[in-house]
Amino acid sequence: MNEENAPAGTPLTPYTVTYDRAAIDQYLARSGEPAEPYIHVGRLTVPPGMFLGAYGRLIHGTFHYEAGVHTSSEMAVAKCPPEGTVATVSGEVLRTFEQNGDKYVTFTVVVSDEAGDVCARMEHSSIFSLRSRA
Amino acid sequence: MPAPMAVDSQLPPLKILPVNSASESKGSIHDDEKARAMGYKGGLVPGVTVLGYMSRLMQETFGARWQSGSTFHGRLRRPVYEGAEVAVEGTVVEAPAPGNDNTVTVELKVVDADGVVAAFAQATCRV
Repeated sequence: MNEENAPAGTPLTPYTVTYDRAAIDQYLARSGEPAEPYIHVGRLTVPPGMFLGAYGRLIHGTFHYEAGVHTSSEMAVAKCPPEGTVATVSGEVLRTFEQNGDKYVTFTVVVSDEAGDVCARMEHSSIFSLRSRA
Repeated sequence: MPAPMAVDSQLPPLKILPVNSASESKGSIHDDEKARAMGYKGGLVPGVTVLGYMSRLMQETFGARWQSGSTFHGRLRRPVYEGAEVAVEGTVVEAPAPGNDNTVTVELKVVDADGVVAAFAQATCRV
């Protein structure tokens, strides 16, 4: 990734993901939390924090960079669908910029369910070219 | 126990032992070897995991209300390392009222073992 091949408006390669029980359990194990708070009317729902992780495959499926560092995220959650939902993840580059020797990219991410309803909209910023801290 | 809604009230804090789920991602900042070469103490716990800790606190406090019509603005300030316990804290800064569509606003932070804020966020939840 660089400033030339990622101008504002560059679409990121969309993908589909199934938020099945195994995927949700894997997320919950990482964050060390139980499933019970996410069960509503007898059905497990997708934790909102799981949407935050949708960005990795989106940006790295479109651009190559290795030692990137995630710096911020904004998220608006519209709904958390039940387990088993097949979601589409899409987005685009908003801007690239440089600060203190690090190069950043900011991009949008939208997670939608099978009906096309938006579950969450996000804006992430990440360093794609990191200056050495050594 | 009812969720705290008054300004300055504290959410029940969490203590979490972070896990670096991406440590096998060779060449990435989560890889111990690469991160040390870049000047860090070791592989970084993924930022989405750290931000997720604050989402977890909102879920445990506000339940299903956190899962629709909510917002989250989070920033990562310092690396979080596997096995170094962090505390997740939240303080209500705006109480729900008819004038704000019955939305509670909470300032959240993840504090590392040295007592330093590693990440912070502002979240809103319609209650």
